[in-house]
Amino acid sequence: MKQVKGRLLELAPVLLLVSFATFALVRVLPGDPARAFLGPQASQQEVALLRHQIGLDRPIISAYGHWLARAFHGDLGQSYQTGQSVVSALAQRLPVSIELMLLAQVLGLAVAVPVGVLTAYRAEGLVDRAWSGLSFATIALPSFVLGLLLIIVFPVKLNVLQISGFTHLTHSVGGNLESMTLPALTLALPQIAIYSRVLRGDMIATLREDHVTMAEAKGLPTWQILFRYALRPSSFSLITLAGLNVGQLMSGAVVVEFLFGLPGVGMLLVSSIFAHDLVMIQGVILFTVVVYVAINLGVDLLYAVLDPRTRHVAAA
Amino acid sequence: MTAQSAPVLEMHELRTWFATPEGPLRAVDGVSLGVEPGRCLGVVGESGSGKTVLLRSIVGLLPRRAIASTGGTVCFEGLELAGAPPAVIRDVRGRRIGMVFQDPMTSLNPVMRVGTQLTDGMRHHLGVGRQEARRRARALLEAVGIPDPERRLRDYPHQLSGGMRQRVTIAIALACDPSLLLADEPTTALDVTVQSQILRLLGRLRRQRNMAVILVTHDMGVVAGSTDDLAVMYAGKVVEQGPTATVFSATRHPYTRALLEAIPRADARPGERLATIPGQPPSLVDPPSGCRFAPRCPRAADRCRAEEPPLAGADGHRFACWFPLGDPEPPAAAT
Repeated sequence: MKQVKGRLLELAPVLLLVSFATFALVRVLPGDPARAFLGPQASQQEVALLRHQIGLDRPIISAYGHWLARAFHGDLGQSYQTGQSVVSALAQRLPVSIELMLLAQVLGLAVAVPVGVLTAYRAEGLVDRAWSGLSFATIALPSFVLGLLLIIVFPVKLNVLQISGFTHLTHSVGGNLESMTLPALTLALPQIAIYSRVLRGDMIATLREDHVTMAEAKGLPTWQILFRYALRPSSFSLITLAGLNVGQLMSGAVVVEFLFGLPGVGMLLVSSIFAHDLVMIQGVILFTVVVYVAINLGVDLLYAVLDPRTRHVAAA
Repeated sequence: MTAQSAPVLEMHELRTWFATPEGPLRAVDGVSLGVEPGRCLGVVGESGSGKTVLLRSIVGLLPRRAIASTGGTVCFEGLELAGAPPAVIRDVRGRRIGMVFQDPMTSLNPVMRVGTQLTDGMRHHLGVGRQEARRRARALLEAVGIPDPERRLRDYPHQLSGGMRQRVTIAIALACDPSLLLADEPTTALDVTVQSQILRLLGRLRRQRNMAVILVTHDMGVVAGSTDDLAVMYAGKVVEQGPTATVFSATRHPYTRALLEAIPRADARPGERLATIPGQPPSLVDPPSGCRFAPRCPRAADRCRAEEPPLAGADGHRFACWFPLGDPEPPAAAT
């Protein structure tokens, strides 16, 4: 586990740098956030008080140090809009984003893996060509267009599933799934397209390798050769890509959550930006960055599980 | 020499042409060979002579879409393999015909344990249980000379040396006790000292199991010590075949002699140039009319360039040459 420690040490400066950048970014934006929040009618004294409360009157380094020290103790401050602590706001929104992420990933991988394997096995065949065209069409559509298309097809024309709104899981499982299906599908469709193409490419390369010919020479059935022998050594790009997506979706699928009115982390970020809620924005972005880095660490460690060679190279 | 028993495998006029943009490439162009139980047939030739394609054609291990046309027959233990349905060939592969490949560094799956790769063939073909497969795998690793088999079964390929890996691939090929082993340059990628160990191992296993072996190589040195019969291939065809000792001592085809002369000798003087065969093997898309070796042959005459010599001879020693070695030189022809 020396590897894990080493990776963590490498990540510390990254986290520090990125957290400072996000902290500073919000501060250097033109305009006074306190004035923007309180509105033009507020008096100078009120603005000055708020500036002091959020630390805007202090030098940036000192304010950052203060903020970071508190963040280490799990305190990201309080929204000056609602008074709710950033941490509790995140805790409230996170399950929605995670559920959306899980549904989209499971759906994405469940379709992309068999399709990727099949199109690699029958590369340049009819299914492969058709899928290639369909994939590029899906990737080319921005998610809000794809989401709107799905809304037109399912709730509007076919009268199934709901257009927007969210039912909590504890309230009704069926209702929850109904409210999650279209957003998850909107996220999953382009992922299916990308994942299956990436897997196809790596798989075609693997199928040309000697060890696959050797497996064929053993007389094993085709499905065993494809899924037991060829899939694992072909899955590295796919795992990397899926890992990046998990990191991104954990911090909220901004466009899709907004489009379908899901109260996730992405929605929280959008509404805090609209409300000029500086503390909340900083907190959410910091959370996003940490999650992203942590997921990437997890993916790196997953390589060692998939490929025994990396384990021993690192140990040597 | 007469065969003591019926051949395990008999090919007749086997043909494999690949599709290329320029037209069909005649990789294997009418080859007839056979091998009896317990004997080893060597197939030698330069790169591109069709020897590997020949081996893979036997068990249908070629990309189906690359093939333009096939022909001939492959009779294996009374079963016709040429043109047989994929399911039939798949059942023969690994179970009754084992295969060993050239490079043990790439022919084992890098992310699967040796034990899994060794046992899943027998579990699939013979339906043996996990425990029984494990027991057989240990015995197989011992048979191919791998110490501490229990530990090796849990290893991944990258934890083994090149020689060890080739022993593992041989164990995999033998897992279902096949009656024929196809070995495609099994020693080419190995150190010289390991090469002879592997060849001795293959010889020992062949005798113990009364298994037929076809050994494909470009190395006349490998052929000399480890084969009973020999077929020399050039440009998709067999140009000379017979008992190995006869082919070596009474060489009739100029190409065979050129191959023999190209073997580096230990008693060569320092700085002495190795004998090489001038020119390039011909295009297999548009092969020369007549003898395919004629453009490179020092003895070639007009007849060689016009008419293709048949593979003929007596006492099992056959050769395709109009003016074989040992016969008088052909009349000098103006070129």
